[in-house]
Amino acid sequence: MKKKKNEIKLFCEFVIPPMLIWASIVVLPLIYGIYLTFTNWNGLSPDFDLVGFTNYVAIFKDKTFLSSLWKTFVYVFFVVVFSNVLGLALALLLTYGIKLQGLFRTCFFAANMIGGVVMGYIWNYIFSFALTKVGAVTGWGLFQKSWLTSPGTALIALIVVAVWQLSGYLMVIYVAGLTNVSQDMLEAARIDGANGRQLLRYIKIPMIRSSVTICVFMAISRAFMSFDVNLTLTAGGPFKSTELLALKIYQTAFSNFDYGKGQAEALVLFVIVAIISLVQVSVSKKGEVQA
Amino acid sequence: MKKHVVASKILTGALAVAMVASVPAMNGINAKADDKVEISLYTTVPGHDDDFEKFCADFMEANPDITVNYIAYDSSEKQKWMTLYASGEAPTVSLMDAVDIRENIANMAAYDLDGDDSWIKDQVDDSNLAIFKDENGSVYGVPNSVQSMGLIYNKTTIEKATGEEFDPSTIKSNADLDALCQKIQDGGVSPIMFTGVDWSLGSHFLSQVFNGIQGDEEAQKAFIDSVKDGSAELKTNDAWNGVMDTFDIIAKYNYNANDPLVGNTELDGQAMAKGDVAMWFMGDWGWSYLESVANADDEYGIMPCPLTASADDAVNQELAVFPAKGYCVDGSQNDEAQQAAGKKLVEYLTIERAQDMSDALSIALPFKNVDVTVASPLANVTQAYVADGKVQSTYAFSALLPSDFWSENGAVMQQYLTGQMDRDAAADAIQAYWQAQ
Amino acid sequence: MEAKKRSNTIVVFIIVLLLAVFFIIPFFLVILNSFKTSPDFVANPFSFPDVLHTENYETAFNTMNFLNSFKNSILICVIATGVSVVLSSMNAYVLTRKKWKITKAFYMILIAAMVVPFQVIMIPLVKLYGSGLGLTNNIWLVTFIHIGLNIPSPTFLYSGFITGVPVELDEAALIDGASPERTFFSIIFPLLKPITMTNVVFVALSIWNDYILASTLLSLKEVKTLPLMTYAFLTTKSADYAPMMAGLVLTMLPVMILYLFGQRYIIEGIVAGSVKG
Repeated sequence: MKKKKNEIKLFCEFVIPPMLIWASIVVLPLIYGIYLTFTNWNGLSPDFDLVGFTNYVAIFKDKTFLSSLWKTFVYVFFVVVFSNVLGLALALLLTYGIKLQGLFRTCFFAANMIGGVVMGYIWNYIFSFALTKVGAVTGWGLFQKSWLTSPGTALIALIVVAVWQLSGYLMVIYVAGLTNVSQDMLEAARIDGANGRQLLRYIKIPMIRSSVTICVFMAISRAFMSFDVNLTLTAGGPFKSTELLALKIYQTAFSNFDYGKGQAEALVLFVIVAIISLVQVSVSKKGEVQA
Repeated sequence: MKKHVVASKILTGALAVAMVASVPAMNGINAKADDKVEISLYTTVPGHDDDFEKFCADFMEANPDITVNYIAYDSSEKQKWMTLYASGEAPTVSLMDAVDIRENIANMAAYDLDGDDSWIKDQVDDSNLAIFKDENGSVYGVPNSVQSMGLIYNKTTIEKATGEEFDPSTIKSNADLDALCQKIQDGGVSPIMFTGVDWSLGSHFLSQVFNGIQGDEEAQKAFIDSVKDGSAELKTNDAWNGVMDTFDIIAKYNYNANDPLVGNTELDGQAMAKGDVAMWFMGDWGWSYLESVANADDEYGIMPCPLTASADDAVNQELAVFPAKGYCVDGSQNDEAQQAAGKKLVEYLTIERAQDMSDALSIALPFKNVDVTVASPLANVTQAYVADGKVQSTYAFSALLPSDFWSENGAVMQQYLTGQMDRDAAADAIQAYWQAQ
Repeated sequence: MEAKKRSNTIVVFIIVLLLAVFFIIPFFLVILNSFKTSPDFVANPFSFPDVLHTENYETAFNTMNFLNSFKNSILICVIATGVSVVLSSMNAYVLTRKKWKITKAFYMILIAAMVVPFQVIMIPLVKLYGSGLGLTNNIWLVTFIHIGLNIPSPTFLYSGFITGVPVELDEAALIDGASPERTFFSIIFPLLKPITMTNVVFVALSIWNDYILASTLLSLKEVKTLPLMTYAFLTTKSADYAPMMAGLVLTMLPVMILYLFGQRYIIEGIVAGSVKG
């Protein structure tokens, strides 16, 4: 009896305060936000009407939304694949035992120390001024035009920047996972004559499956939410070819004074990301080696 | 012994205290003493926070019973406005585009033209107020400047390249423009350029199809309605094809043709100042890009962008002048005393400080009874065109184009410029945009 | 065998070095050009400055109202990070140790909430707290919101770590007569130090670099944070690239210093268990 009372007390002291703060900041506004998706509020006017599912119907009829959704999928796919491959590769290299490992890890993580807005600006200068200069001097066709001015290369530029930042972040988690791989097991395998490739394939990769789960989850949610870099690097241009969903939502809600619809688009994005990451996490959890 | 528990309780308690304690602190800022009115000013003019802050400080000195909080410029202009409204901090006075004021008209307080605000009637020509009116004719905005869009030219560069004296009034049709460009190009100088950004192409250039070339306000409205309901086909419309012929000429000689969408006004300004390029489709605000880099001996001007093939069409000689951004006053979250103080601030900024405002922002002014010397040579030309009455109506541009027009159709124009869309496809896309409205 | 390993190490070192150069070249360019004049920058971003133009820093420092915005940023960042990390550790402790229905449900909800786009709650948040409570231009409100937003992911990371801490430790302390609260603070929490440092760095970085939340709630100059002033500076001085670079350096500097102090713990913290989650 006393134990139960104590446990309730502990729950009230430890769980209720953070959950309450969190709920007041996220859940309450979320509910209100969902309500607003059923209105035609323009974001300013003191009054608005309930319009039922009109906004949701409009979204799925809106070709620009669907094309933005498609582009977002393309972007997310490449970002998730490349950032994980590169992140893992960096982690493998940085657990090899070379000199200055700590310093190198810092270098690769450095991109995560600055905000997306600032980062977009830096890369904007690089693509517009530095790389075109390289193109002019060397005559390489690849860099003679700014990458930000034609649709294909602008999307690639966005992916490059996202991968540049994210892979350093994921590297940290992969390094952690790799360091966890038992040295005894590696040693035993080596004595049995396993070569480097085999060690990777049969020991390291299976042992870091849980890191893969986390990293893919993080990469997916981050890539879907990309907003800052999109805004300051390409601003959706040229001609809206790189307008990813999060930016599109922002434009609908704030530039076009269609708040209700923008909010509905954001909710659709939320549901999509939630479903995808749920599927991803449960599928890859199944494949994980029980550690 | 219970130290840690206490610590955790203090922590959560401290939060609550911080929240509560901050409320009175805030009220301290907002509290209105009996005889003092507190108002706020929000502008969407980038890069002039210092100037506006100075104006506010001077205003407060002249009106000790009014306090003005200046809300600094924020690049997310409309989002900022919305959040200010959502947070109950609606600015008393906001300097916004006409189309934004219209979106928010339910919250706005009209100016009383027959009462306290009768100065507006004396100062501002009705043509410059039209875009700030609702259906009943109430006025919700006072323009802070008139600006023009057209072709900026560097007279010195043109004359050096052609070896002849240049007179902008000789450019009476797009064929004349073509011939001039050819002559400049033969002289070894790049004749003209577009800055390939959506606002310049999609809003300024494209709006010429719907502006004065169609006639007066009513004609412009009627044309847009007919495009919306499909009774007019943009593709085969003469105005559209004339304007696009001009577009093709500029695109043909475009200095930025190698990479047309770089869209950097600074670099373009530098190219013009260096004499690498002679003309630029932009507006008189382009002086702000030129001012710091321009050669002091070079002579600059702005001229109408010719839109048709016929030298007899008056519109080819009329500059597209429009009242840019207007001061509007909030009536939903500001009481009457604040509204009155706000309107007083508007009069102060527009009329009393006319000269300083013109100097600070390098703009021409729409006010009849103030004597102002405009420092910007381009804005000076604008003012001269206004004085001569050689201006075309830009009612459609300011009042009829929806707020996403520039970004949606800017994308179309960019694709046309890079050759990824032909003229008919562009026309269809723009017509489809209108029909979806 | 040893010789082969050594030559491999050298190859790896060179590959890593080349990659590292690619990763930090943007920072190098920013720092390099922050000491040049704007025309020099446009002419050749790779050239070295002939004279060190430190006046760029002066311009940036003054325009960004650096000391004041720095103070606002630090205040928000330190308080919000401290509170959210401690609250999250307590939260994660109970959610992980007690296998009740409600703790499991809370945990799942928190994870799902990690993918809520901020735009969905932005305007409602402003309407509820700004308009409802009249708390705009209040850095305490911003602090409070940051705390709320930064409960889920630290809880997530802590939870994985706490699973790896033997339950026997709790039980031993309880048998000795310590209360569960005391057990947590004097026995468990100190063991969480590595993951605590990781969380501090991650949370502090996200708060320090926050732009969108601050921009929606802070409009008066006195209360603006560093990213707001940087962005304002970047967008208003469109021609003046060199001072902009200086502004960027000034914004990044404090974070770099924090990271240099915390980096040892980041990897250690994750290594020690969070990944098992």
